Amino acid sequence: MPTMHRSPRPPCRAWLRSRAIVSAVALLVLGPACSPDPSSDLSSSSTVADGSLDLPAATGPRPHPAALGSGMGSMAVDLPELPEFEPPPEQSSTIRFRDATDGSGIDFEHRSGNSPEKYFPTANGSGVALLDFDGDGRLDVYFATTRELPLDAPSSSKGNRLYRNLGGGRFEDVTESAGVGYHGFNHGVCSGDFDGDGTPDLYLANFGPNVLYLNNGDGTFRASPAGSGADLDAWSSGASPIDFDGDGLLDLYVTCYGRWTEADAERYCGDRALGVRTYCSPLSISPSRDFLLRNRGDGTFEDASESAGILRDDGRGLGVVAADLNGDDLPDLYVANDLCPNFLFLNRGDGTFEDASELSGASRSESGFDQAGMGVDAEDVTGDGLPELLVTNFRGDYNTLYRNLGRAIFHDVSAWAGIVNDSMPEVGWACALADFDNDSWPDMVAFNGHVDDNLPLLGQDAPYAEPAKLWRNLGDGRYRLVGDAGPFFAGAHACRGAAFGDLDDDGDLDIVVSRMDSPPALLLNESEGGNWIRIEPVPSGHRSAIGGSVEVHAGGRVIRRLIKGGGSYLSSSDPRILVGLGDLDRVDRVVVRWPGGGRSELLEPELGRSHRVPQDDPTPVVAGEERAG
Amino acid sequence: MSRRSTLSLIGSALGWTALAAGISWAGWMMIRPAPSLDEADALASAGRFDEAEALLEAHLRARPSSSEAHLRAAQLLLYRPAPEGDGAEALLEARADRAAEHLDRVRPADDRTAALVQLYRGKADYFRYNTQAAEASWLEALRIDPRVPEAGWALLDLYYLQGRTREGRRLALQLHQVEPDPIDRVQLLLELVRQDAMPLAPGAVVSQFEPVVRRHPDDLHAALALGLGLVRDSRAPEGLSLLRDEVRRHPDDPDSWDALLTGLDDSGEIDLMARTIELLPPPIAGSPRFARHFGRVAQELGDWESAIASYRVAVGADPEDPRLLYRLARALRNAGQLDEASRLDARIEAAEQARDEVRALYDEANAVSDLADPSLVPLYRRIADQRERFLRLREAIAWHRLILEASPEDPESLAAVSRLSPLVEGLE
Repeated sequence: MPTMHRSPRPPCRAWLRSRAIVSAVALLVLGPACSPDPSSDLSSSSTVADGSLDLPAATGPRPHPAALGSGMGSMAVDLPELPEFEPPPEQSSTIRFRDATDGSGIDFEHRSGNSPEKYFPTANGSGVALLDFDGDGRLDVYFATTRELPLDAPSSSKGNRLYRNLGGGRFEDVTESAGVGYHGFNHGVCSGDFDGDGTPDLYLANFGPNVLYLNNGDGTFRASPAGSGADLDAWSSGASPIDFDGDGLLDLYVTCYGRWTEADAERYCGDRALGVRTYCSPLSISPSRDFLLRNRGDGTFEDASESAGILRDDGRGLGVVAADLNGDDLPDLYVANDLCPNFLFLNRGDGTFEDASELSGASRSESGFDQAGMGVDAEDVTGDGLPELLVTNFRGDYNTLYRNLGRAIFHDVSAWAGIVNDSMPEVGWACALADFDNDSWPDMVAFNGHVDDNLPLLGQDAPYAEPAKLWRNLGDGRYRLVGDAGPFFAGAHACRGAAFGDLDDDGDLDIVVSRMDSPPALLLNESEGGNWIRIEPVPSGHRSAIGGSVEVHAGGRVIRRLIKGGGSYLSSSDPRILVGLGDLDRVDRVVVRWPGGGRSELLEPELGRSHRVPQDDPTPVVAGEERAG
Repeated sequence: MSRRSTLSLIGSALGWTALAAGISWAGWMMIRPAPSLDEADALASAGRFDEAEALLEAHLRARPSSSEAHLRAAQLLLYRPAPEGDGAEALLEARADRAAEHLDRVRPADDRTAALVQLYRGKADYFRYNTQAAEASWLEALRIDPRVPEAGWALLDLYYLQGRTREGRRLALQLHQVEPDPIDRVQLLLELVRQDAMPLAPGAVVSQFEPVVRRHPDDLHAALALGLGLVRDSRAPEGLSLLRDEVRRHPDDPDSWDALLTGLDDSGEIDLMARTIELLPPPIAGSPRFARHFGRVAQELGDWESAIASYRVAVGADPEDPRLLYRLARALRNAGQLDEASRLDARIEAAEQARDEVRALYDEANAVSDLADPSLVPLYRRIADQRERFLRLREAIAWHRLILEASPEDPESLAAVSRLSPLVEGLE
């Protein structure tokens, strides 16, 4: 008699069912191999045990509906028709961008360091910073790049590059003269006035020691000396400037991804039999802590994470945004973590933060799952004055929009907002909640690109290059995908960082996008825009305005925009506040809310121009520099 | 003697001769030497499968009605290493077809053989992408003889692939109670840990069930698994269309409605979800199993009180789903019911921590060669603790009962069983 076989051993099935790539044939082919040994003795030797099972009724295959003739089942069900997933994207949207890279003079090319060894850090890419480094009133562009690993191996990378904006869509490479041609493994870059001299500096978040370039004010930079405390030696991802303690000195929040050494590269992920190696899951990387670096004011920084109450070592930190998220005029922090809960730290105003991450509802999806958070942004998209939060996530998961319900409570409203289906197919990185058509409602954009460039070899329909996506705000915080935002959005790219700002000073937001192992994309906004106004907050004593906000009172509405640090993915955007007004042709007043309290007002400002609003001036002013609209 | 008589005599003689020859031939067929089944076993053991198969075929030519030989032939066809290379899939299916033909000719003499026939029939159907028939056969095998463990394992695998966690968990716990082998008893519980530690990628589910549904579009659960897999693999239009078709085909089946509503939830189509809920047949709409969907719609509308009410019912029906608990906690917090929300938050955080631990814990247990070793009680206890924190309450009880088998007076396990049992009363 055939033997009673011992149950199959799980390790074989465990391989089959792991998150490694599995093909249908492999599942079937390997099924028998996981079965009892076919050559085992066919004579029975098992004992009999009593016992019965309460099993469901075994039913045979159900007849195909076609065989039933008319009237199948006990009732017909008139289900609602499915949408055309979703309503077709807008084809005649007001939002459009022109790719102006060619002929711009920008010849930078990013180096990811991607190699057959698939060292994990080489998957995450780099960011972009927009800053007016020379004070000529035009936004300049600084590109970060990673490189091959190990760090002492030869590299084809030409290093980070700084391009001076010449106007008219032209840029000039001034890296060497400026002294900021860092050659290393640079993920994130942010800009801020860290030495309080009125000029924007650059902070590089690296795999390896971080670098602070201090602006000399003459078109050149000097590196902050080693041992300043800013030169963290970790696997840093991104950074945001923030004056968290309100002492007038600009501090830093630095996100770190995890612990990784070249020894970790020995782990093979992919299909060894096929010789296809992929990046390992983020779960293979132990999370590590971020750093809140307090500026001592003497050129040095100290780690204030623990004293501030936000020392956590359970995050794989990527994007970070500093902004007032609960309406108390203090800069808070929101951090996107990869397959860990996102962090929400609310500033108490006394040098400490409340860790509201889990209680807020903004740490996980609406069903409680940790998502693969990459890029972040914050802005009021519903018009109620409370800023929402946006996080981009991995393929197979949606980008998450958290609605601010007040009382430091957020709720995942991605489904309500209409962004779930359109964002699931891609791996999202840089993002923004920004008003691209100046209709007064912040739109949404996500720049995408897969991690692995070889999944088709494993039979997966997952291309490396993916389309960027842009959604137009319908006027209440719901969104609709824009079908034709320009040739860049019609193509596919391996994007990572992106920064947003008015590069050509025409009153709308342009975008500079970093792409893996490719030139960047300079996207100039050519949308059919509404009216606009730009505010340049000028805090007293070269302090930071991050944590403040701008309120535009017009047409019975109050349009609120945050003054932010960081945001997007590993990038740094235009610090000026551009506010779209739609059809409104008159603004009653603009109120600048300064961090820590205090207000400045601008009465009946002229539209279509920039206005500098100094904090020092106590009286309402109608002032501004002449800026061509 | 007349000519007629002579012819008649000759005819009779020929007839009797033929009859005698036939009887002799039949007798010879019965007693003639047939290739030995033991010899076939030996060839198979040596990996000489083609020769083993040929020998069995020869045996069957000599003994065409041998149930034992047909059973062994089927077993050999189903368990020999799978073919590789071009044409492998077709060859595998051809073997499954032949195995099924052999099984049709087996006349089981007892329940154990009958159960084996069902086991093998299920395997043959599985290789032919007929998972619905395979499931039916394996269930029948277990019904005939619960001690055909491979049928249980095969079903657990199938339920895991199809995402039928409720059925899989229930079956594993039932099999655990009747399994005589002490190692396998523990292995069954550990399998549930493994399934949490190794969630399936949606793309793998799609790859698994696309060929099944293509061949057998009437296979409800394969279609539901494929539909949900497509939704979760960022192919929502295809997935939802398939799920909707299944509701149309099976309007009385709660599984089809549940899958469609889950697919709509996962793809963020909450408006559509609300409209679909309105069409639920009353018996289904009133089921606590569907309260989660009502809660989701209410949550999306910002109707926190209705969401809370629905999620309470849902959690009561399925206290082992951390997702439901999280949604209830958020609804409570959003509604300002902070005390209860905070209590649930603490449980949720514990569940999250337990989730982070599950893979390492599984790997540790899986490396043990003798899972029934009584010295493993500390490991059992850690697993029981993890299961309890991860809201797998019935599993936690089962692990504690294993501890009590080794140490009947263990106070911690006695207390745990006493504490947890009321919480799972009435659960399926």
